Amino acid sequence: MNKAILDEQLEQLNIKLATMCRLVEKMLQDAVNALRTADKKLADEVVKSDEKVNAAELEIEHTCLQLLLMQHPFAKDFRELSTILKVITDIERIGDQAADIAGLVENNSSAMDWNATHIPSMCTLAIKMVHDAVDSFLTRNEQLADATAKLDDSMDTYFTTVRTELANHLRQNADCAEAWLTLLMVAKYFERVGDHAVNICEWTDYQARGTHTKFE
Amino acid sequence: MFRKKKQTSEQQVQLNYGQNISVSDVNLHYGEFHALKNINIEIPEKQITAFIGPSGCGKSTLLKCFNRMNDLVEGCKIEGKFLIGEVDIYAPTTDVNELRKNVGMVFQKPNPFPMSVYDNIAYGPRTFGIRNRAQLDEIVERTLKQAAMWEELKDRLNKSALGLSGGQQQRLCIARALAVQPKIILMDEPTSALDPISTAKIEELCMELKKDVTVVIVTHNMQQAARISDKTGFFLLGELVEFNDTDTLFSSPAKEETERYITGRFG
Repeated sequence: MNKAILDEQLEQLNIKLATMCRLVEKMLQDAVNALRTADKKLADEVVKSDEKVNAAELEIEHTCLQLLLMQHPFAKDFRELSTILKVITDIERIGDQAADIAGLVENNSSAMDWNATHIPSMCTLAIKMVHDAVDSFLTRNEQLADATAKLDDSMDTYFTTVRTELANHLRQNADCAEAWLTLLMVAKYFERVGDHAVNICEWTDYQARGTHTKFE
Repeated sequence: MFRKKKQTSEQQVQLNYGQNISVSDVNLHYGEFHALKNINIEIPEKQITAFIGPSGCGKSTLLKCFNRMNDLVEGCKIEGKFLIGEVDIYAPTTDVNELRKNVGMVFQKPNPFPMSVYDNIAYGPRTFGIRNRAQLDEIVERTLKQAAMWEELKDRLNKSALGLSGGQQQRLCIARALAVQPKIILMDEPTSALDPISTAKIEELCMELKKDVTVVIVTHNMQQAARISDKTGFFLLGELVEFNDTDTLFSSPAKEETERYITGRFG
């Protein structure tokens, strides 16, 4: 094992992971804005950004596998590399969710009535969860990971609320059924983003403690 | 008459020698040098236990205590208790030959005797009184099969062991140790002089052997310890810093010194 090489590569990996995460956060925000304002150009940018996220995942994964093969890391180095390998999968999936949200713009040219639901709150919470989950890993802060994972309860509550809200809207205004169903999909995507953020928190906890436990 | 007496002796050995090693409050001095400091360790039976640590940390010294190889070292003073099963191996009544029959040892450098493959394997059993050719043939075949060498050596039994490759010689030495049916095999850096293929064969052999015997191995190769051992002990400056399940020790060591050593921050 060459400790100098390993340390330098781990530092670079952390920087790349942070960059990948910030890109995904922006994609989520842009996807929501694109859908809300029926902005197809912005939606296209989100979809294109997903390619960058996929490329970043492959690049980080390649470096991690190379380090596992060449440097045989142990203890906290091993846990850090394993965690990065797992975390990038969740971040990549969050990027997919953002691209999927952006993809809904194609079929919904009219601007969405966001304020009739709690979806804006879900969006804000989802972005915060992703940001804090990755920050907890980058700063080795398992307390932040634990607190962030607990936010998923709020996310689940929001989803239940939004589903009820949308069912009511659907009953009252069936002419806009397609728009309400689209919003239900958006809500589900955010709920899934919350789950991915929890996964990241679990791996942050593994990195710190050495055991992988599922947060309830 | 002789045979009957021998069987009784073997039965007694089987009753007394177990396959676990219990070390309590052991201190070892080479003259003024305090080489082992207050060592306590329980080595489980039929598992592979690895000792790791930087040079001079005491891991080989402790290994050699398990079959009293330090007895002949001048100025060596040992305090504390070593039990193998229920046998106190440093008790005045302990027969060192019987101990070494039950606790075999393999060294860093292959050291076959300058004689045939057959005679290398038969050496130990002959020492313990077995002269019957058919019985010796059976032991040689069983032992070489146990060491996964029968197929490659069955037609070369009468050839000199010194003509074998380094890896074959080392496996022959393991087979030689197995010939007297030991309960425990000690290995002191057994693959450090071997190529990767030979190393892999010895590691595979260790994994097979633990079905029948306890293996304790000293290694400088941490990947090797991680690959084959069930338990690992980390030694530093004569102290056993940490003894843990191998996967735990290499993924989440409990002690900072272990963490620093296995991540290459010193040593």
